[in-house]
Amino acid sequence: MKKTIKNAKKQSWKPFFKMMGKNVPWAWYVANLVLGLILAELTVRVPELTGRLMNGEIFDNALVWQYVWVNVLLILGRTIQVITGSWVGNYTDRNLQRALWKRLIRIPMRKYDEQNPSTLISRVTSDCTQVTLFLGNFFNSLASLYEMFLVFQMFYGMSREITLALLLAVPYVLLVFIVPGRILFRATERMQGTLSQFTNFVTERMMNVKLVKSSAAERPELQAGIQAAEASYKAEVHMGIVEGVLYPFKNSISGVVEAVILLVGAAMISRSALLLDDLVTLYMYAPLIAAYLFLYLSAFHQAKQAQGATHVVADLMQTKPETMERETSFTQDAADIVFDDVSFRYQDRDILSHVSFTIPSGKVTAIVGPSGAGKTTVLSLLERLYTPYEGTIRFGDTPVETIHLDDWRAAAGYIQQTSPLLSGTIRDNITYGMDRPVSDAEVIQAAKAANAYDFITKLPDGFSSSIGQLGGKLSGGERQRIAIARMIIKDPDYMLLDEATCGLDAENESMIQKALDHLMEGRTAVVVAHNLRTIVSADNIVVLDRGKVQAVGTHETLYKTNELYRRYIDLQFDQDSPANHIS
Amino acid sequence: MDESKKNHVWKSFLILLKDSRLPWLFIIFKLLLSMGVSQLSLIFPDMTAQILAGDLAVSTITLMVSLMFLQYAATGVSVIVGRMAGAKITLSLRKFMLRKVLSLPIPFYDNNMPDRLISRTTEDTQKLSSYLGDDVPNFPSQIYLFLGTLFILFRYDWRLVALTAVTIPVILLLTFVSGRLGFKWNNRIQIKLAELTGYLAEILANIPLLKVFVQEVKEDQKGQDNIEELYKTKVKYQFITAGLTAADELQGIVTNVVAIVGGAWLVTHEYITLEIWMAYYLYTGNLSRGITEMKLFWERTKAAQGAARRMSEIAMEQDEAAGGNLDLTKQDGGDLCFEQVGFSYGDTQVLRDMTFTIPANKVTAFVGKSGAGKSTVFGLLERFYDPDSGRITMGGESVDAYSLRSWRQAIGYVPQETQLLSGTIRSNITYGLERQVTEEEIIRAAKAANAYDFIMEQKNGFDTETGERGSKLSGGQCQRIAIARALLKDPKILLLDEVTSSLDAEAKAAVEEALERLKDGRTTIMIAHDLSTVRDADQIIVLDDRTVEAAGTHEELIQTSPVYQSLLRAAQPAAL
Repeated sequence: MKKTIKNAKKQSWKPFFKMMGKNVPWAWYVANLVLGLILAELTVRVPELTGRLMNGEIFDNALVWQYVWVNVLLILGRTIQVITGSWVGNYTDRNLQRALWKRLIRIPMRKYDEQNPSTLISRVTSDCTQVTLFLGNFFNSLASLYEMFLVFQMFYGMSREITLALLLAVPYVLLVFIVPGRILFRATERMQGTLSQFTNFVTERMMNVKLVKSSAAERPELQAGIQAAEASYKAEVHMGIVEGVLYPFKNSISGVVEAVILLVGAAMISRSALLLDDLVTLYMYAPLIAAYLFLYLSAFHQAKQAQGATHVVADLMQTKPETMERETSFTQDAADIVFDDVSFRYQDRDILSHVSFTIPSGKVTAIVGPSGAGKTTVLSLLERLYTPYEGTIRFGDTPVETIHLDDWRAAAGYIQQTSPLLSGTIRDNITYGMDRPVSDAEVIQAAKAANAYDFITKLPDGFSSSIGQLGGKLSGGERQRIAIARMIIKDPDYMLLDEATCGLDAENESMIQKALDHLMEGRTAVVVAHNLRTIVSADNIVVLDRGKVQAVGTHETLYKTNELYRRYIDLQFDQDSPANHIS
Repeated sequence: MDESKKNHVWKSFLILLKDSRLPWLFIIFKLLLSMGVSQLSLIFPDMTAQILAGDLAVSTITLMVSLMFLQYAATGVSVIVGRMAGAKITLSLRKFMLRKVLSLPIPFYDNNMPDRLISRTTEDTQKLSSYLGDDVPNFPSQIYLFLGTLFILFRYDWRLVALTAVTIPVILLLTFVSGRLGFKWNNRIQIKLAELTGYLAEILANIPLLKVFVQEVKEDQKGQDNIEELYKTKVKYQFITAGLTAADELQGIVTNVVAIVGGAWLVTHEYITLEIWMAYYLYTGNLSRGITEMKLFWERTKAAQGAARRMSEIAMEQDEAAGGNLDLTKQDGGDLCFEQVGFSYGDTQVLRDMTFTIPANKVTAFVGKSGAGKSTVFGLLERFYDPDSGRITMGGESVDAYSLRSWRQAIGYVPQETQLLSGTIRSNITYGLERQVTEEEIIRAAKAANAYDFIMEQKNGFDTETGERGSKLSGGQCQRIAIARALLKDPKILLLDEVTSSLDAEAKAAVEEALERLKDGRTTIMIAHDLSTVRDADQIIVLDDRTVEAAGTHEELIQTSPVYQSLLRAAQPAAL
């Protein structure tokens, strides 16, 4: 995190303005500023009026009325300003969030892999708001700067001496501003850090309560938890002390301002250089001056905070989204898919190097190899989640890069090793991504084919059971079967299966495999499998090892000619066939 | 919630407070300091009025300015004391809650989302403590300031109090309305924000799924709608807040006008002097501030009440039963028997009339379709759950006669999918061990678990960080670490739950080799869907339809058990 901020600092402000350009209603900000300037004129009159009243001019009806009108006008004006101001802020916020969301939804996988989902969330929810807050503060500061100018102008008009004396206090004010900043920042950081460590600790234990209990580790865990809580305690006490010590200094600004006005004023009055009435008026302005200073202080701190957020958001806004629209549509006749000298690197590691093979149309191709061979990568490249580093993948003679991405993905059904489910009902999950309305009969049929029907109907709400409420109660196998039902209902032209039946028990596995075999008939299918039956019955087998193609062929030829393949199959064969021992 | 339960909650709240031992000294000190600050606030208006009336002696000014600084300093100290009191309370509440959430029985965790238990421990503790450490000791001083101001005004002239009293109902009404509205709308925003965050969290975590199903356009729209909805709510909220603020300020003006006009009348009729009026005018500020503080206190009390109730509800829960005095780690257990055991989750019966014996120091395997009850048997063996009917015995004694702690210490459990905790590989291998472990032992365990080689390939060897939930290691690697953990624990009873199901051929072979070594000289109980791994078991128990269908060796079952035969057929690969 620190690193990204550091990197971000080097960047120019160009992306920032580019990002803000279209999304910020500048005219409204300016209008709001103008209103702020007008109100400033009114605001600076109030203390004077109050001063005169307090001085005893309460019998002057005109003055009382003036006091009432100025205040009422001011309140109404301020209300309008607050409303428009917050509207403008929220509007900007919304625009930024929407723009960012558009980007994130189409973020390329490579960029996505660099991020951590939970930080991405705060990019949208809190970082955007930081940026708008900064904007709002900036314009507000301009208005109050003008206000302060007016106040000083008046001060200067009434008493040059007091104004100059106040200016002498400036170094003190700066000192009080700047010194605590760092200390406070560090204390806050420490407090937040220890608190999140404690929260993480509790979260992890609560998520793994069965592990804790089956290890009878309650006592050491309690000790560790108490330690984390104590670290947080110490940070809190530290923070309390820092705040307590800084409090008098921070507030002393208003004390100093008042003291200067009163002492200098008193001296001047004794020399008859100032009227008591004027002193009272000046004194009335003292809280206003302190308020400005506080405002700048907090705006300054907020700007520092926003700096990091701004750059991160601007950086994300700059990422090029995946483009769906390419040169050709995907309505062509079926053709073979060819990997032509394809290499793929990921985070400086070669995953595939110079891989070439053909996936025949309408047939089942199995990809076999030890873990880490690059099998899943082949499927990701086929799904076009990533693009090859070198070489091309062709569909017939057409490079896949030129085919519309949405067409391509819509035509392919991809089941990953572990299939995520989304919140919503089981039905929602089975019909996820369907553009047409789906009948209940279809859903039931798909669930039956995926061997999911029985367990779904046993749930309290059947197909309407909500995934969120089931929580972790669905087993991995059950989740996988829902994912398979989802694929069956999608009825894709191309199938990419990444160990789809992994984690299922033998009976379920064989039943689902039958359903999938049936589904794969006549379609182009690419299967990563460690299931012997699937491998053996494939039309074409690609043997991968360490990112290279070792051999391509059918089971019979490979078993005879390829040593790696034979060893791999023998290992499987030995384990997968208890039936052989029946006789 | 009915009355008796409510009382119970309050009672347990008091127990909670007693157990968490409040730092009374700090709280009282904080109270005294706030009183002092209030006392100073009572002096200021009078002094200011004197000065503004023309008493410009340097001594008066210096006195006032020094009193101001004294007040700042006192407030500073009171901040420190309050924060310390709060932190102390947080700490003891957290200790209390930590102990509690670690000792609840498993069915409780099944029925409650973990995030609830988490926020009880991390957030509610903080809410309650800032209330007890800050707001409560602060409150009397606010009352003192309010009453003190009234008293001073009364001493000037009773009519001034009457003048003030006129405006108080208006202030109260406004305060009440704005409190209500503000609360309601703030809640609404929080809900919307939570909705948006929940939605974002889910989609952002599942971007690949979205891509695979080409849902960009749809999810883009959904996200836009969510953002729009939040935006509208926020604008409305701020509209209302601005309106309320305006009303509040107008009320301030009304109060001032009443003070001015009323004051003018009082001065003309010579009930008070102009000087007293000036002081009075300055004091009215104290009064409205006092009312605001009281309102805030009321709101905070509500919030703290909620936090206290939620925590008390958990504090009320029964701890997991500790069991009897027998120590399984110190004695030979003997055979494990299920005697007519029945078990239900809620209304769903999962096991019925289950009777079998697991002989000591032998390998027993459970097979059966998914849903047959295999994992539940393990849950009962771990004593995560208690049977609803029948009983489980160990060496003739009911399992409840053994202390739960020794029971679980004597059992090594390798689950289907291993959970690693964040930390290093070493800390995960030695997890739950209370004795000191030597480096050689760890290495030996890792080697026996076929984990040593891949661990050494990591950048920092045994000190490599595993990442949250072991995310930086593959499934097979996590599994082997779990086996090393079980090896190091050297348990009397070993539970293996489909240990190799999610592994590829190579990893599977490695893990199985390791498991063979682990089985020697202890009772091993395993669940397997891969029948090749149970062939050599001393006993195979076939579960079907929530009870025992057959038990025996592989050879016997081939002859006698229809369910076993059908399982075998399903596993048979296509013709080779």
